[in-house]
Amino acid sequence: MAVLITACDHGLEPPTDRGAGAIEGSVHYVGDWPPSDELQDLRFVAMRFIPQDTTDFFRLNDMEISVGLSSNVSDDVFSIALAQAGTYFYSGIAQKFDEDLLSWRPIGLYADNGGIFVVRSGETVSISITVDFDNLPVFPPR
Amino acid sequence: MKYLFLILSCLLFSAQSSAGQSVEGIITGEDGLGIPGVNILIEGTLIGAASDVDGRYLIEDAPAGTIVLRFSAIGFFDERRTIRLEDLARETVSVTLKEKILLADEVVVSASRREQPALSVPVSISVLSSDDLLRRNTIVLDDALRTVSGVHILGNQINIRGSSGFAYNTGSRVLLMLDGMPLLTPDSDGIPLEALPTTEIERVEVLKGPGSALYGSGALGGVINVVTRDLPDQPTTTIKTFGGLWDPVRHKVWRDGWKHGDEYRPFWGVSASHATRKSPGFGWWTSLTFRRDAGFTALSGRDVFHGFAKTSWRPRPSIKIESLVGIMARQRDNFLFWNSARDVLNPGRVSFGEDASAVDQSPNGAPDDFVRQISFLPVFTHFVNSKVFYEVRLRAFGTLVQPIDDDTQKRKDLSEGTLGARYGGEFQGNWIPNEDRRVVVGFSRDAITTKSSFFVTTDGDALGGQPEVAMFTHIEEQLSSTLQLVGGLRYDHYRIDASKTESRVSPKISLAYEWRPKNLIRVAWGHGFRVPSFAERFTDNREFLPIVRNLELKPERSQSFEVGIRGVSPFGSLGLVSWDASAFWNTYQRFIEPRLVPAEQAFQFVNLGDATIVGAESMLEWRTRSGDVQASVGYTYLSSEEADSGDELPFRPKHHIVSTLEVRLIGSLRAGADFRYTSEPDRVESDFARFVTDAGIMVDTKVLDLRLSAQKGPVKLAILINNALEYHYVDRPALLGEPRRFTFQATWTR
Repeated sequence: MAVLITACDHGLEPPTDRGAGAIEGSVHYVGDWPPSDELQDLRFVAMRFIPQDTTDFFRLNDMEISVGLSSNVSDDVFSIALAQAGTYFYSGIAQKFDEDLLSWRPIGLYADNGGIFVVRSGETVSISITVDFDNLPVFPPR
Repeated sequence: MKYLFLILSCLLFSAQSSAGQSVEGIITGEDGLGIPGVNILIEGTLIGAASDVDGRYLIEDAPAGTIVLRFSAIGFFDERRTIRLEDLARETVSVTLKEKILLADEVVVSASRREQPALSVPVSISVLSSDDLLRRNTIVLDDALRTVSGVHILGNQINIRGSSGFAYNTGSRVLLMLDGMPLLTPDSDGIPLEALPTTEIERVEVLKGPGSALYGSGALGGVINVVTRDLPDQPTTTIKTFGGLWDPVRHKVWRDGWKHGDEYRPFWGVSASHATRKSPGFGWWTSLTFRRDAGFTALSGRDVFHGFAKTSWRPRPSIKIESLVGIMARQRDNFLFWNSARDVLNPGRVSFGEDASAVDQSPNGAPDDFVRQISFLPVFTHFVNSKVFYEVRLRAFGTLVQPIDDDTQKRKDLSEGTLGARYGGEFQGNWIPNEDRRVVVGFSRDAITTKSSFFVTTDGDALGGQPEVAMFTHIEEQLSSTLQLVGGLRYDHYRIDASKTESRVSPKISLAYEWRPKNLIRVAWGHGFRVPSFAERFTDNREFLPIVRNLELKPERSQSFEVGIRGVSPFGSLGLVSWDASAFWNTYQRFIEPRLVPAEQAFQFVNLGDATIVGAESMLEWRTRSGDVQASVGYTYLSSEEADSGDELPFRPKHHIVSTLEVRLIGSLRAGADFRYTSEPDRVESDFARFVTDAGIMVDTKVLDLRLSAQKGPVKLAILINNALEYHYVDRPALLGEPRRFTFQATWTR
C-alpha cells in the first residue's frame, strides 16, 4: 500500500514560471530635499502586497527594487528590467534616512488606478510618480 | 628457618582461601547446543568469565560464601543462580538460556541510569540495535533515527514527539549522550551526529518525554543515548567500505539550473576497527572512518574523518576504569537554503537592495567551514560490596570552527571562527539495599567556554562561559511483585554571567503495573527544562542577517504526562507480537525561537508564550519464531497549539508513520524495506520565508528505502537504494530532501 501511494506521487515539483516583464517610469520632485545625512539611499520599490510596518521591508521575495536613484534633482527616471509578473499593490520612491537596515520610508507613491498596476510576462509597464517633500505619504498606509 | 616456613605456610593458606574457589559449567540453548560468548559475572564484583566455543566456562578466584551468578548474552534472556561456595570448593553450575526473539526484550540503561529490560521500564523508549544500524549502512546516526517511531528529523534537528520544531540549529531540545555522557557542542548545543563512532555502536536508546529529572537541561524533549560496544573475548577486526551515487533529480528545470545537474554524484567511505582483550583485565577497541561525499546540490560536498578508541582496564576485581577518546575533522560546503523552488540545486542569496553592480552577487546561502572536534570520556567504577557501587565520570569536549574563504578556499583566521570547550564531571552512587529497592544519588559540575566573532557577552567580550552544577536522586520501589514506583528529583543551577544565575528543580514520578507477564501499564509525569544555548543568548552580528543578542532570554520549561501500555503475545504458530501504545500531553513555557523584532530592527531569539502538544503513539512489531520475517509499524499523531494565538506550532506534522519489513529469502540472502511518511506541517514559520524565496513550501514526506544483503564466511555484501521511488520532499525550509541514491557496501570481519 505504501509503495502504491508513493509511486503515484513524486512530491515536490518546480512551480510554474510566472514569467517576467519590465517596469519603467519617471519621478518628479517638489519641495526642499532633506539634508544629505538623511539620504543614505533612494530607490523605486514595487510591492505585490500592502505593507503593514517596517518589518515588511524584509519581504524581499514579494517586491522589486531598482538601482539607486539620484538625489537633489527635480526629475529622474527609473527602470526594473526583470519584474516578476503579477499585480503590484503599493509602489513608489523609498528613502533610507539612517544607517540601520530597516530605516526606510516612502516619500512618493504611485497613485493612478488606486496605486495598483499589473505586470504581464514579456510586457513593459510605464508609470509616473510625484514626490512632494512638504506632503509625505503616511506610513503604514491606512 | 622454622619461623620463615611458618610464615610462608600462612601466606600460602590465606592465598588459597581467597583464590582456591572456582565455578565451572556449560551453557546451552534450548536446542541443547553450547552457546559461545556468554558473559558470566559474580554480581557485586567484576569477577567473571566468558563461555568458549562449546559453551563451557570456568571462573577461578571466586570468593567463598553465598554468591549470585548472572549469565547474559545478546539475544538471550539473562539467568541468575545463587550458590554457596565453601573454601577451596569447585562447583558446577550449568544453565540453559532462552532466546529472545523480539526487540522488546532488549536491555536499556537510559530510563533509570541502570541496566534493565526495555519491557519493564515505566516510560516510552525505543531501541535501535547494532543490527538495525548495520542493515541500513548507517553512516550518520540520523539515517537510522528516521526509522524510529515518534522521531522526526528536520534538517539535522531531532524532534521527539514534536518537541523541537526547527530552531535553525542554534539549540536542541533532545539530549544526545554517548555512553551516558551528554554530548553537546559548546557553542550552539547542536547535536554533533557526525561525531559518533557508528561502527562501534551496540545500541541506541531513544527515551521519549522529558528526561530533565535524570539528565538536566537539554533533555526537555527526550534523550538519545548511544551505547558503545563492550570488549569482545576474541580479537575482532572489521573493515567496511561503501561507495555509491546520487541519482540526478527528476525535474529538468532543476537539473538545467546547475552545470552538474545531470551527473551521478559520487560518495564513498572506508572504516576499519579492531577490538581485542590483551588480558582478562585489559582490552581496547579502536575505529577509524573516512568518507567523502560530492553532494547532490551545488556547494554541498564534504569530507569527514573521525577516530575513536575505547579502553577498559580492571586493576582489581572490584574496580573498572574505562575511557573513550574521539576526534573528528570535517570540511564541508554548508548549503543553507536554495535559490528558489525552481532552482533547488543552487544556494540562494539574501540581499537587501544593494546596487547589483556594486556588490558581489555570489550566493551567500552556502558558507563553507572546517570543523575539528575532540572528546574525552573516562569512567571509574568501584564495587564497594554487593549492595553499593559508585561511578565517577569525567568529560571534556572541544570544538574549533573555521570559516573557509570562498575565493581562495583557504581557512580564515581563528578570530573569525568559533572556539569552544565543555568540561566537567559527575559522581553517581548506587545502593541496592534489597531486591525491591534501588537508590541512586549523584552530583555533577560542568563548565562551558566559548569564543566566537559572532558572540558578544554581557561584558562585551567575545569569550564567555556558562558553568552549571547539579544534584540528582532516583528511587525505584517494587511495591509488589507486579507494581513498581519510580521517583526522581534533580536540581540544576546555572551561572549566566557574573551577576545572573538560573536554578531549576525537575521532579518526575512513574508507576508501572504488570497486569500479566510481559504486559505492562505505565503512567508517568515529569518536568523538563532547557537553558538557552550560547548562540541563542549572545549571537550579535550584522554581517549576514541582522541578529542582536538577548540577555533577558529565560529557560524553556515543560511538563509532561503520559499513560501507556506495552506487551508481548504469542501469535499462534506465526511467532510473537509485541506492541506499545501511549497517549501524552505536554505543555511548554517560554519556547525560544528566532523572530523579527521591529523594536530592535533585527532578528532576535525570544521567549514565546505557552504551547501545548498532545498526541498518541503506537507501535506494533511481529517476528516469526525462526527470525526469517520481521515487520514493524509505528504511528504518531500530534496536535499542537500556541496559547496566545490558538495557532498550530510551526513545523509540527500531525501524522508520522514508520514501517519496516525484513525477510530472509534463501540461505543468508536477506531483503529489507523501510517506509516513512510525515504529513506536511499545517504551519510553516514565516520570518525565514520573507527573504528566502519559496521557503514556505513544504510537502508530505514519503520515502521508501530498499536493501539486499548476503553473507559468506567473513564477508558481507549489501546493496541499498534509498528513496527508491525518487520522491522529492523538503528536508527543512528551503532545502531539498535527499534524492534517490544507490550504495554498495562490503564488510569483512575476522
